[in-house]
Amino acid sequence: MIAYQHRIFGVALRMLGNAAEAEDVAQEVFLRAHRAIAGFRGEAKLSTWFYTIASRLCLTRLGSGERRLTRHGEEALTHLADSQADPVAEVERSEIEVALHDAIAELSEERRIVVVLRDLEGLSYEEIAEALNLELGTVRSRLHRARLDLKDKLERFFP
Amino acid sequence: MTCQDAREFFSALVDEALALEERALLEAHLLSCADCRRELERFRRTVALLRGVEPARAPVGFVDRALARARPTPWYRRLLRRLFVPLPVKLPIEAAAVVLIAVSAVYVFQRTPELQQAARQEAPLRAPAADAPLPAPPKPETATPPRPVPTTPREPGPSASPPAPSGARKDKEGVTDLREAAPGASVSRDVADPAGPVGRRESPSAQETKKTEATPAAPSPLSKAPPAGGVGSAGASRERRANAPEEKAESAPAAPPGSTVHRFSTRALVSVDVSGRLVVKDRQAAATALADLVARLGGSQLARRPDPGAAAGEIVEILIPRAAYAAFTQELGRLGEWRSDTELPELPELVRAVVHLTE
Repeated sequence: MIAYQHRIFGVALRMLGNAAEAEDVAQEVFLRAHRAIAGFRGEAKLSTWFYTIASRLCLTRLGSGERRLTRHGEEALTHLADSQADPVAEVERSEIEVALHDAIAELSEERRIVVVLRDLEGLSYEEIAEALNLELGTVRSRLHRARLDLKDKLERFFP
Repeated sequence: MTCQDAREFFSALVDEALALEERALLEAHLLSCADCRRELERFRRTVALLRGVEPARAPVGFVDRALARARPTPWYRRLLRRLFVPLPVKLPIEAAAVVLIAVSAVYVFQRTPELQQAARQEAPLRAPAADAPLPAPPKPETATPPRPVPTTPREPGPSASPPAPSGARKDKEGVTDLREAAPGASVSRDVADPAGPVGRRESPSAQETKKTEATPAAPSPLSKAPPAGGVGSAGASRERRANAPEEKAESAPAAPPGSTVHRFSTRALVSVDVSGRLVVKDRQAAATALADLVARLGGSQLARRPDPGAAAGEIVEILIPRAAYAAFTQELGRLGEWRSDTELPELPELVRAVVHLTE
């Protein structure tokens, strides 16, 4: 748990945009893993197993009605969470970084989780497909569309 | 390869997931298309930005909190959580329920006289039962004429009635009922112990025993005569009765249908329906005549004691059937000068009268 705490928390934070909610989900990930550790067959990497649980919990929470009611303030919550983590960094953060975080938060949930797992967490296409229970082609397609969306939103920063 | 086709390979190219043939085709297109080269450059910078995002760090204490959450919650915490969480919702509901139950209990208690009576009797029921043994069932005795006993004011009842054939079991039941109904009552045993035939005399030993007893006995349910009008330890009994709330209890079991046996109800023992003054020339003779009169009319004499308000007077308490009350007052006029001080407008079936005998 100590080895994966930051990564799992990071996935939850990028997906949910709220530090408290992210911690709750991350704790739930380890709680469920602890309960189901006997059923872990070792066919996948332990990290992939954690990401699988985390991804499903995040998507479930994002899809819940209660969560939808709070999505309007998601962007602001993202900034708030970041500023809580490191206020100095918030001040020094460049405009492009802010725009990047906003662009990630504005992605659809399906595309966001793929981008987070691939570009922020460094999972392979196969691991993402396994974690999200998707076809490899679907992973590639969603990742490409997500990157294109981000590029379009960040285009003004590129010469 | 078109620009659209080429740009579809950007992600795979950045991730180095393109097959060699696809990569060769894309690179050939990029060499000839400046727009796609520019787009690819922007694409790469976007991905580079993404991969350059500083990883998030779990907050301090995350592991401890996760481990604490993994520990099983103690049963009492689960119970408390079920009972009171959410506090703002459950606490007012539970408080309201407690108040409602309390109010309902008080309401039911106030609306149910039986409960109130039981509550009043519960305390006195214990003490006397422990230290006041029940009297033995009275033995049937031969009826004898009534004889006034001034010092021990026991007045036998009228002798016209046949002996009650009630057995010991009946008497015991009556005693038990009375003890339960009026525990610790200092009512004269003779008042409530008409087990023997009306008018019979009790043996001196029996009288001695009964003088010391405070527990009343039941009247014989089979006796067709009024209960023996013994007076018992009248003065002391009356004083104790005035101070003893337990003596307000109900008395003997009901008489059989058609029987003329009078039941000594609580009302009869505690309330006075008629009181008056009988001025006579010979107080002793008048008292004897009064006892005979009461017995003849089917009543009974409850007590006889000196009148603290008159030096040469005494007080006689009697019970007389309402049907015989008119004849009773008429006969009183013959014994002396009868002046009624108090008389209820509607007399009960069994009239309790207090006669102040004065010379």
